[in-house]
Amino acid sequence: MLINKKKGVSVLIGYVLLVVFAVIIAAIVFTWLKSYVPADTLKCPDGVSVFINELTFDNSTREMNLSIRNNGRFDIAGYFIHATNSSSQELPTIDLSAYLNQNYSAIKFGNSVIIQDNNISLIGEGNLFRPGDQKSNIFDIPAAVGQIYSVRIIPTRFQEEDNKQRFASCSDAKVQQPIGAQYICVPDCSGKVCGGDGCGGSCAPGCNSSTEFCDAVGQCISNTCTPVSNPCGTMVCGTATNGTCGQVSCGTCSGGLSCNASGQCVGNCGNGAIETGETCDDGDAASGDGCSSTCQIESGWSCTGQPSQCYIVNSCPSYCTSLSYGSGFCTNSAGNCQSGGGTYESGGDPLCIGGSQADTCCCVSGSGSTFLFFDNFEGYTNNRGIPLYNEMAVNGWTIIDNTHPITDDDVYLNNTIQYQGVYSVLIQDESEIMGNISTTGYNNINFGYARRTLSLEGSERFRIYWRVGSTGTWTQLESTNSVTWQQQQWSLTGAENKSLIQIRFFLDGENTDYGLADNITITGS
Amino acid sequence: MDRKEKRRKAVSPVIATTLLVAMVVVVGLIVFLWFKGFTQEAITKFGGTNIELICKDVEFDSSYSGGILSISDIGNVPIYSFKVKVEKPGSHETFDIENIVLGWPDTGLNQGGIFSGDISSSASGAEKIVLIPVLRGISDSGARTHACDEQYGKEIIL
Repeated sequence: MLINKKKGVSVLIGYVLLVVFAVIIAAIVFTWLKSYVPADTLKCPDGVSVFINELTFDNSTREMNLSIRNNGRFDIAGYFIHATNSSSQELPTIDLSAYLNQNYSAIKFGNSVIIQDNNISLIGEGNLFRPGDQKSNIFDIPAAVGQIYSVRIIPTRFQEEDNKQRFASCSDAKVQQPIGAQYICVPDCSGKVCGGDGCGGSCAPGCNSSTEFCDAVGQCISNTCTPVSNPCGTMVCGTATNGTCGQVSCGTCSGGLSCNASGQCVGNCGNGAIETGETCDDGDAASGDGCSSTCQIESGWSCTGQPSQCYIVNSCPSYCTSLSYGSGFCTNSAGNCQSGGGTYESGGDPLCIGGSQADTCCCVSGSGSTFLFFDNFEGYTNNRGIPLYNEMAVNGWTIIDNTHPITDDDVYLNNTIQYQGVYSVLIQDESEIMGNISTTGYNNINFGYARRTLSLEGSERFRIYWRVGSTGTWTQLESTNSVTWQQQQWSLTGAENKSLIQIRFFLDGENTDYGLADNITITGS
Repeated sequence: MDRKEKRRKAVSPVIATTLLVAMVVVVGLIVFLWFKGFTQEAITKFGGTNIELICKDVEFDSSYSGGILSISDIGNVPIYSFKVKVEKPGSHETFDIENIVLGWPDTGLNQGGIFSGDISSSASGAEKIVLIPVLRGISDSGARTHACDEQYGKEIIL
């Protein structure tokens, strides 16, 4: 009876109350503290590193050249670049990304520079500057910026975080270097047993000073060896064999020249400056664009300026001995196209540019035709990116970047997949190029081109159109997803004697789908 | 005896249980609402991380020369503004950077962003300037700014 009176709430209710109370308290505490749970910080890996190989600024041309190398263990996307304009300025406060000469190797992305691979890559595709890669980027610095004293680089990476692609600044890997500083000295004793390491040190083990001497390539040679007279001959640089007395130095090149295999000082082909031994230098080491890989003007071209600008001259290549230039192409005496081997052809390579000798001396179907429009995408002086737009406009092209009108990066030249020569034009991501041609005074209008696609899926197609005027309905000539190059030739009925006809190459696909075209011709007679 | 026992009797178990449950609910509600008030004040950034934790990830470089204050955001956290603490002999004063310098960007400094401005009039006679980052985050009541602790700031000795 007494026990019964002391009874409170039932055990069951007590437990329920306790559990409810605990759950409520836990919910409150969790809600309150959950934001304090540390999350993973967006941070670059420790092995990210870049190295400034060369940094030069020409105050007369206002051009800054930056050569950087990915010296680390991870791919990177690009970099932030800031500069100072005096030695007294401690912190770089000039953002140079705005002055990037955008091309195939780099484009601007916000206030950073994104390094592209040299072919068909896009922003956001990933980190394309891989360990060991080296890139040179040009910046056109306006006069208002004044002098550039030093440059600071902060590498950047695209990183996956919480299933999102985020853009990370790798501040731990930032580097800063004054203008003009070139190549940090790295001791090199590879293959040497004596002599200097190039950085003021000595290579071990060294020679026995009483019986040996160290030759020009770091090898110990016996004092009793037999030398020859004038081992260098006409060589002015490099090393030459001096009888049994090892190698002797024939001198070094100065003024930025380099020593070739013949021991002569020659220019650095591809740096854009015409130096000793060069007849042109268009800033690249590719042949087929008028200036060869050894920086010699190619047959059929004329080059001027530095970097050289190369043009097709009104003549046939030197190996087309029986042909002469006229009406825009090379013909034999009967006015017909003819190959170097003497066989008549009815199609082929306009203006004899690119390809091998066997097929290069023929120009256009039928005799008596005149080129009203021609583009093989080889003649552009700066043919690796955005400057292409202005140049292509001069040649009658309108480029419409439908998805990236600000960056205009969906149409560019491509040097890996081409019909002939070095370059073709690449169109991607719902973008197009449109050619504007007058056929006034001409009949029998023919439209020729080579084309192919890459990575198209489903209903995606590369579509080619033409129309009279600038507002009429487009006539589709074909829609293709062929992945092989095919030369196409269309007779444009109704295009005769018109003040304006337009041709259009439209890539009906996404940003990883590509349409490529080359050797585009409009002829009439 | 029986009368005495009867007087000592309290409320019935049913009533006691009801009262207890009601009290638990009321107290729980009060405590929840009280703490909920605290949680409303929490400012978060980058998907729910408390902005106080974000402050330690802020990275910036700064310099002051000839009256010109230069700042560069080298990290991955956008810096919305700065508190500029100007320490003079015997006193100190704290300004919002946008109030003492022209041209501070409305959106602050993003990744890789740089800024230079003249603060000579505010920093005249100062021995030390402390730059304290101000971040912008989200709370239940919308976007809000948060000044980081001074430990996350940077001192510039003049």
